[in-house]
Amino acid sequence: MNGFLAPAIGDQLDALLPFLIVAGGGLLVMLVDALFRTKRKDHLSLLTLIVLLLSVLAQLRSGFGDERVLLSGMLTVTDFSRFFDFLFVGCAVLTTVFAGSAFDRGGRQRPEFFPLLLFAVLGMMVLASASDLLSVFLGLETMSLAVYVLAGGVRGDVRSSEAGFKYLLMGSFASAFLLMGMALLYGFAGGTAFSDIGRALAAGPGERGLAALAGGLILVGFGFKVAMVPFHMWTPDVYDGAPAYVTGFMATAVKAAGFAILTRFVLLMQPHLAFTWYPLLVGLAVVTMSVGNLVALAQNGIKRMLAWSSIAHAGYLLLGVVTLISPAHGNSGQMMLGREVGEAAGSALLFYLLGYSLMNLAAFGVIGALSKGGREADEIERYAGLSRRKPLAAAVLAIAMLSLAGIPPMVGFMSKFYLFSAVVRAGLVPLAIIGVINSLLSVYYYLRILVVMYMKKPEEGGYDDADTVAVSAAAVLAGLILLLGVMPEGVHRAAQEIFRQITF
Amino acid sequence: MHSPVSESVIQESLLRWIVLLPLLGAAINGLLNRRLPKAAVGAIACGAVGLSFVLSLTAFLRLAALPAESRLLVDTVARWIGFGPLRVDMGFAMDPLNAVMALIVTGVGFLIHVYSLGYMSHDKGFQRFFTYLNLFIFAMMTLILGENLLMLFVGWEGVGLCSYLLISFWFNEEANAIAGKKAFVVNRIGDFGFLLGVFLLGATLLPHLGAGEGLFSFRVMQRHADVLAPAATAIALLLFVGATGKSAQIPLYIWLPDAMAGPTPVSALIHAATMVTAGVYMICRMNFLFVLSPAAMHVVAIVGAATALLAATIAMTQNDIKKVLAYSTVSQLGYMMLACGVGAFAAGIFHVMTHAFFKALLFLGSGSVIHAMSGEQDMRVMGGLWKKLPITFWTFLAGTFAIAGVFPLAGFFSKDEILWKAFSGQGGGVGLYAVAFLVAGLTAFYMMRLVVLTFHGQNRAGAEVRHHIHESPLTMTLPLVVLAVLSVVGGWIGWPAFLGGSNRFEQWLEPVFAGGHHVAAAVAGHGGEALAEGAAAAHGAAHEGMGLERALAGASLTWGLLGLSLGYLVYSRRTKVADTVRGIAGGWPYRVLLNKYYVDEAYDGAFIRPGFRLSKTVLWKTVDAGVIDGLLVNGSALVVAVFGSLLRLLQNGLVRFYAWSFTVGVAVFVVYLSLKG
Repeated sequence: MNGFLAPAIGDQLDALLPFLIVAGGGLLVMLVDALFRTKRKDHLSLLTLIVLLLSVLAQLRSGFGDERVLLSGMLTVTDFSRFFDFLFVGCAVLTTVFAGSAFDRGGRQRPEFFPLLLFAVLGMMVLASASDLLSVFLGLETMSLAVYVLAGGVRGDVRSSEAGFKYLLMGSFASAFLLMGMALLYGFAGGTAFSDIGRALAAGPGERGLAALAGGLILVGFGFKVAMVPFHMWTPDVYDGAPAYVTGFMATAVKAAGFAILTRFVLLMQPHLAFTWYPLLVGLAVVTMSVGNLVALAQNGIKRMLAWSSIAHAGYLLLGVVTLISPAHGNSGQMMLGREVGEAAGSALLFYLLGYSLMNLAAFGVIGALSKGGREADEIERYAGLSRRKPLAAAVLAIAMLSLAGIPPMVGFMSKFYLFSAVVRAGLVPLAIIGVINSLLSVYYYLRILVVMYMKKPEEGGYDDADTVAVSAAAVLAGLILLLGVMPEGVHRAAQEIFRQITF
Repeated sequence: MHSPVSESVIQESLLRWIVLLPLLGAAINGLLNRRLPKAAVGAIACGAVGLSFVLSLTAFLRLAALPAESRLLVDTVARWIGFGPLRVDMGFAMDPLNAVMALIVTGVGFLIHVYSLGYMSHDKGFQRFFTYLNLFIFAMMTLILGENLLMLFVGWEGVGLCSYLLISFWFNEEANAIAGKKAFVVNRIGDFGFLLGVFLLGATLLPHLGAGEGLFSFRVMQRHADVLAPAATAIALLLFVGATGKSAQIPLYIWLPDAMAGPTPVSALIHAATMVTAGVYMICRMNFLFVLSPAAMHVVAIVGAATALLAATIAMTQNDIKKVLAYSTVSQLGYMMLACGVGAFAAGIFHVMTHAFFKALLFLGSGSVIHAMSGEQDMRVMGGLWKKLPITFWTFLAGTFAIAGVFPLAGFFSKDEILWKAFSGQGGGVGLYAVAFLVAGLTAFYMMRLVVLTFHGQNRAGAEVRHHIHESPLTMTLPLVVLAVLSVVGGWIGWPAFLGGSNRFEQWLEPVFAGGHHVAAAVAGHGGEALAEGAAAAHGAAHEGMGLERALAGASLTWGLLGLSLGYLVYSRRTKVADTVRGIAGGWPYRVLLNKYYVDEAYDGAFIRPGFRLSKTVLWKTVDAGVIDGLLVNGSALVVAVFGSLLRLLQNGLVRFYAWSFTVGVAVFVVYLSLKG
C-alpha cells in the first residue's frame, strides 16, 4: 500500500493531474457559485470550460504511448483510457455550452449543474482507467450520482424530477447486482485488482463457473449504464424527462464510459470465459439493436425516438464487443484471438463511439437550442418547416440524422463500415447481416425528421426560435461529422494504435 | 422379542385421497362463492367427508388384513425439503394408531356435517361454514396421517386456523371475535413451545441420520430414539407445552370455554371430538420419546389429573349449557393426558374415541336444545323439554350415562381403564387414582344437574320461546341417534380382561406402543432379559391384580351412580339431603367455582393488564408518541411530502415493471451462466 504514501505520489503526479484538475475544478466552481451569487451563471460555465481545458492540457503534458500504474494499481492510465478521457471532456465542453445557452433562455437548472458535470467527468475518467474492482465501483458511482442529479435537477419540472428519480431507483438496483458480482469475483480471485483476477483465471479451471456467474452480474451493472436490453427500460423515460443538454451528455459520455469499462472488463475475462460469454453477448447484441430500432419506429417525441435509437446503437456497439472476443480465429481449445480481428473490432468500437458522440451531441444540441423557457422542443410534428424558419438548425439536425442512419458521407456511415467489416472479418457474417438489416430499418425513423423539416409547411405553433450559440456549436459538430465521414483514416489509425498496445 | 418397527413399507396411494377429498370439497365450495344452491353445497361438503370416511375404512381394513407386526401403509407424495443431510418428505402413513384416529375424525366429522345441514340451514354463511368445516377436516387429517412431525405441525396450525375462523364465525358480535382472538393468542403460546421442541428434536437427531432418512419421519425418529435420550425431557416438555395449548390443559385451558361462541356443530366437532384431542394424539404418536423421560411423563400425568379435577369442579356451577359441556371436555381431556402420563397410551386413545362419541352427542344434543329454545343457552330458563324433544332427550340421556361411566356404556370401559392405569401404570399410584376417582363422581353429578335443569320439571322460559319449542329435523336427530348407539356400544371393543373380554382395542394398538416401551427399556440400561422379566412380572401382576381391578371398577361404578343420584336429588326435588348439600356448598365455594377460580381475572391482572399498561405507557406514549410520531412520522412526513410528489409521478407500476423485467433479465443471465459455467 505504499503507493498511497506521499513520496510515491510525486512520481505519479503528472499522470494524476488531469483527475486532480477536474476534481479540484468541480470544488472550485461550487465555491465560486456560493461566493459570487449572480443572476447569470456565465462565469460558472466559463470557469468549467477552463477547468476542462486545463485537464486536457495536463493530459497532453503527461504524454502518450505508455502505461502508468497509479495509486497502487487502482488506476492504470493507458492510451485507451486517454482516448476516453478526451471523449468525456469533449462531451462535457459541448454540454457546458449547450447548458449555458439553455440557461440564458430560461432553463431553470440548479446552479450545482456545473460542479456536478465536472464530478461526472471525474467519475468517468476513473472508470475508464480503473484497474481494480474498487475503483471501478468508485468511478461508476461518482459518475452515476452526479448524473442522477443532473437528470432530475431542473427546478419545478416534474418530468425532470421523475426522470432523475427513476434513474436513481433503477441505477441503485443495477448497482446492487454489480456489487454482488464484484463480491463473488473477489471471492473467486482473492483480490480486487484486475491483475489478481487475471491470475486467478489463468491458474486453472477451478471455480470458473463462479467467475462466469460473477462476471455475468457485473455485466448486468455495466449493461444498465449502456442501456442494454433487457436493462434498458429506464432509458426512454429518463432521456425524455431530462433536459436536452443533459440527455445529450448521457447519451454520449455516460454511454461511452459504460462501454469503456465494459470493454476493459470483457478483455480481462475473455481469454478464459469467452466460450461462456460469447453466445450470451451475441444474443444481447442482436436483441438490443432490434428492440431499439423497432420501438423507435413508433415514437412521436424526438427525444424518446433518440432514446430508443441510442438503445439500438448500444446494440451495434455490443456487436463490436462480441467481435472482440469472438472465438472464430482461436484454436478450438485455447482462446487465442486473432490480433488482426481484435484490432479491427477494437478500433471500430472506439471510432464508433466517437462518431456516435458527435452526431448525438449535434442532435441534442439542436433540440436544446430550439427549446425555450424550460419547455423542450420534443414534438416531431412541430419541426415542420424548420428548414425555412431556421435553416442552419435544420441543416445540422439533418446531418446528425443522416449520420445516425449511417448514410455516407457522414461519420455514422464510416463507423458502421468499420464495425461491420470487423464483424465480417471475424467470420460472423450472419451477425453482420442482422446489423445491416437493422440499420436499414432505422433509416425510416431518422429520415422522418428530415421529411418533416424539409417537406412540410411551417405551421402555427411550430418551433421557430433557436439559440445562436448552441446552433453554432452544433454546426461545428456537424462539420466534424462530415469531416470524419470523408477523412476517417487518421482517427481510425490512432484507434488501431491504441488497441495495438493492448495485449490480447 | 419382536422387532420394534417393521421396515417392510407398503405403498398405499389411497391415503392422500383421504386427506385431499375434504380439501377438494372446501375448494369447490370456497371458490364458487355463493353460486351454488344450499343442497349442492351440503352434498359436496358431506360427500367429501363421507367419501373420506369410506376410504379411511378401506385403508383400515387393508391394514387389519396385514400381520400385526407390519401394519403400516405409506404414501409418499413428494420430497418436501431436500437440502444436504436435511430431508423431509411430504407424505402420509397409516398405522393402527392413526387408523383409529382417522376413523373417528372422518366418521364423527361426517355425522356432524350432516347435523350441520339442519342446524345451519337458516344461516347466511351456509357456504362459508361448510368451506371452513371441510378445510378443518383436511387439516385434521393432515395432522393425523402426516408421515412426519412437520406434516403434523402443518395440520396442527391448520386446525388452529380453522378453529379461530369458526369460533368467530359470527364475527358481527364482538364477543365472538374476542373469543377467537383469545383462542389464537393462547394457542400461539403453546405453539411456540411446540416449535422449540421440534427444533431441539431436529438439532439432536440430525447428526445421527443415515443416508436417505427423513429427519422428522416418525419411523426414523423411533428407530433413532436412543440418541434422543439425553434431550428427551426437554423435548418432551416443550412438545407438551404445545399439547396443553391445543388440548386445553392447565395453564392454557382458558380458551376452550370461550370457544363455545362458535356454532354448536363446531363445538362438537372441533372443540370436543377431534381437534382438542390433537395434543393427546401427538403425545401418543411421540410415545417413544415421552417414555424416555419419566420426569416428563410425570408432569403430563399430574397436569392431566389437575386439569380434570379443576375443570370438573367448575363445570358443576356453570349455567350456560355449552359452558358446562366445555368444562366437561377440558376435564375429560385431562383424563386422556393422565392416561398418557402413566404410559397407558392405548387407554388414552380409547377414551379419545369414546369421548368423541358421547361428547359429540352431548354437544349436538345441546345444539338441538338451543335450536328449540330459539338460541337460549341458559339452563335456568329451560326445563321440561323432555316431552317436547323426545329424541333429543333420550339420546342425551344415553350420552350422560356414557360419560358418567355407567356399565355397559362406552364411557365405562375407557374411563375405568384410565382409572386402573392411574393406579397401576408407570408412575401411577393412589394419589392420581384418588383424583381421577373423585373427578368421575363430579362428572356424574354435573351431568345429571345439566339433564335435570334442561329436561326435567317445568319450563321456565317466556311464552314466546315456549311456543316455538319443537323437535329438530331429521338431519339433526339422525346423527344424534347414530352417536347415541355408538355411545352405548362403542366401548365394547375394549371389553377388559377382568370382565371376561380381551380388550381388542388395546391389542390393536399394541404394536405402536410396544416399540416405545422397548426403546425406553433398552435406553434405561435393561437388557432384553430384564425386559422380558419385567414383562413377565407385569403379566403376573396383571393376573393377580384382576381381583383388585374388578373391585375398583365396582367402586367407581357405584361412585358414578351416586353422583348421578345426588345430582338428581339436589336439582329436582327439595329434600333434606339436597338442602344440606346446598347449605354447605352454596356459599363461597360456589362463588369461586361459578367464577371459574377467577383464573381469567388472574391472567387478566398478571399478564393482560400489565401488558396493556406496558404498551400504553412505554410503547404508546413514549415510543410511539414520542419517538415514532415525533421523530419518524412527522420528520418523515416532511421527506415524504417532498418525495411523495415525485413518487406519485413515477407511474408507480411502470418502475415496478422495469425492476421486474430487469430481474427477469438477471435471472436469465444467472441461469444461463450457471448452466454454462
